[in-house]
Amino acid sequence: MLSLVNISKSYSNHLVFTVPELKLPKGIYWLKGSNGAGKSTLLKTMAGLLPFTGDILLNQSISLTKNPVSYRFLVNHAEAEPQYPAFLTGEELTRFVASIKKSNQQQLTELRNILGIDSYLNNPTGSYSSGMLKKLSLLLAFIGQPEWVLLDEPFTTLDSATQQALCELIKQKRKEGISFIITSHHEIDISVIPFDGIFLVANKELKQLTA
Amino acid sequence: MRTLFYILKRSVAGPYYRQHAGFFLFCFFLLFGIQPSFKDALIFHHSVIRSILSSPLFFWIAAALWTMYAFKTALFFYGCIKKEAYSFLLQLLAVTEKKRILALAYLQTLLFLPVWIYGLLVFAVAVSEDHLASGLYVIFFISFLSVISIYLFTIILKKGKTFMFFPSWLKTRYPATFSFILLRYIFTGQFTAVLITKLITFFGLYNLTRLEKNYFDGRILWLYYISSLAGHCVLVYRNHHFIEKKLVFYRNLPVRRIQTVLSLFIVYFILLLPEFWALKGIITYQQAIVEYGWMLIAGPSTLLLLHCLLYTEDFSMESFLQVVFGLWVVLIFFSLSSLKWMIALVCIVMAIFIFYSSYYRYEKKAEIEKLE
Repeated sequence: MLSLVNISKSYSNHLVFTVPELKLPKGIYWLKGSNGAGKSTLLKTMAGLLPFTGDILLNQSISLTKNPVSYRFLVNHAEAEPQYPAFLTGEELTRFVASIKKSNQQQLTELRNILGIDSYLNNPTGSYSSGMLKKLSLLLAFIGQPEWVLLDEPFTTLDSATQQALCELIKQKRKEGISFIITSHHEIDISVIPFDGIFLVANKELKQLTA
Repeated sequence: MRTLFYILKRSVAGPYYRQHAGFFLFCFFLLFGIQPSFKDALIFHHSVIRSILSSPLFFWIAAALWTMYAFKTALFFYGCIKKEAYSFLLQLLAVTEKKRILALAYLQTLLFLPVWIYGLLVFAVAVSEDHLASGLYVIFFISFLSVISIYLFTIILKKGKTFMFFPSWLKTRYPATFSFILLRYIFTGQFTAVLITKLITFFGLYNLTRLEKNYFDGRILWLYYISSLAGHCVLVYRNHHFIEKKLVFYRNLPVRRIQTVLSLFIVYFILLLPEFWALKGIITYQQAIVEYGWMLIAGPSTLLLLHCLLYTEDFSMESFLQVVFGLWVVLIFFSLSSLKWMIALVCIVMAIFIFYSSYYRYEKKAEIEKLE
């Protein structure tokens, strides 16, 4: 379970969102909201990329503020618009993240095949298109043994074949016990991904639309 | 054909010389700027040319440098072909082979012009000093390099992005660690800044440590050393910016803060290796081995502290320079006293403390500005 306790995030004096309390049991969740509503900020906050007030707990015991390393070991994140050093190849980045997240070669090969990025992984990321960068960021987000994977606008810039492959991957990983929070301002076909809850980020608050 | 030549000149040769203006300026300075007068520079070059013509060793050194330059031009052409904006160059594949080779020969000649000019000068000296055979060797070698380069250009054009300079088994497999990624950024992305900083600091420290004992003053050496460290602040600032912009995902990785601090310390230790080499003189000439040890730790610790200070606030370069100046004053004060050994300890303890308390609280101001 992922619990948000008294979370609030501000930029300077500008409040972006506040979440008094939220408990998310294992499952797949969709975070909706218009552009600039704060979806990405909420996801980055949950991933430990941004400072905030309050606390986020994993399984009631692992706190993002008190156990930052253990928490990050179990929560992965993929950015909406990923940026990487242009001189690094996808293979080097994968190796870098895999060594920290303690992944194995079998997992990497499997993910590469599913996302179809084997052909250009040895090229520097500076030569990648936005879609290729997106696939790489998704690959990195699945590396290791995460309990939660936070995907920020995962379907944007992906071709339809990879979108389909990603949906299958999410469903397969869900069966293996991994939970997901997915943000999207586009409509997602709920018959393709079986969401356990849909939330809306609006007016600096998080509202549950369906359970 | 003239249109083709014009396009290649404007789109490839022009940007090549603009992008490498710093490199050419540096070479020009090395070749002509370090001699006391223009006449001395001419005498120097005359003797270099005569050495190329008379000594096989000098000839092969020059040949190796020209080959490296030819390789550099080919790499630039390959870089252009890889870019989306240069996809129009692929239109060259649509013209006849004769026209394509002519166009690429023209482009190669433009890029290779500095070598041709020097080669012709060597030839002129060879003719005037009865070394015609050696002069012809030089011209033959440069022509040979040009032909090979044109051939390489045609292959690059045909294969496009799939072209590989080195076979995959020969490709370097770089270690995938935080330190190594940062070092690669420093030595590729900041190459010019590193080179200039190192030239200034290295020669200053090298000369100061080799002064005669009667003239040697440890305080002046420390003053210069601390100023040299402060001079690295631009590199440190850029490193921090690189980490927080291009390695954002690193914040989501389960890495202990002490591990990151240690990685940064290693990076700055390696960055300061030229200075450590220059400072070796205080062991051999001044027999100050303990002082050398303290300097060895004080260097990376100071740079580490500068780096960690950047996590206390989202500094602009201007405000960071003020902080650097403040720290410089404090460190100068320490270095003039008998407490200079404390610099290393104070810096390292402060760096770790600041990093621990600020790293997770740090946030880039740019995002705040975007919202307001």
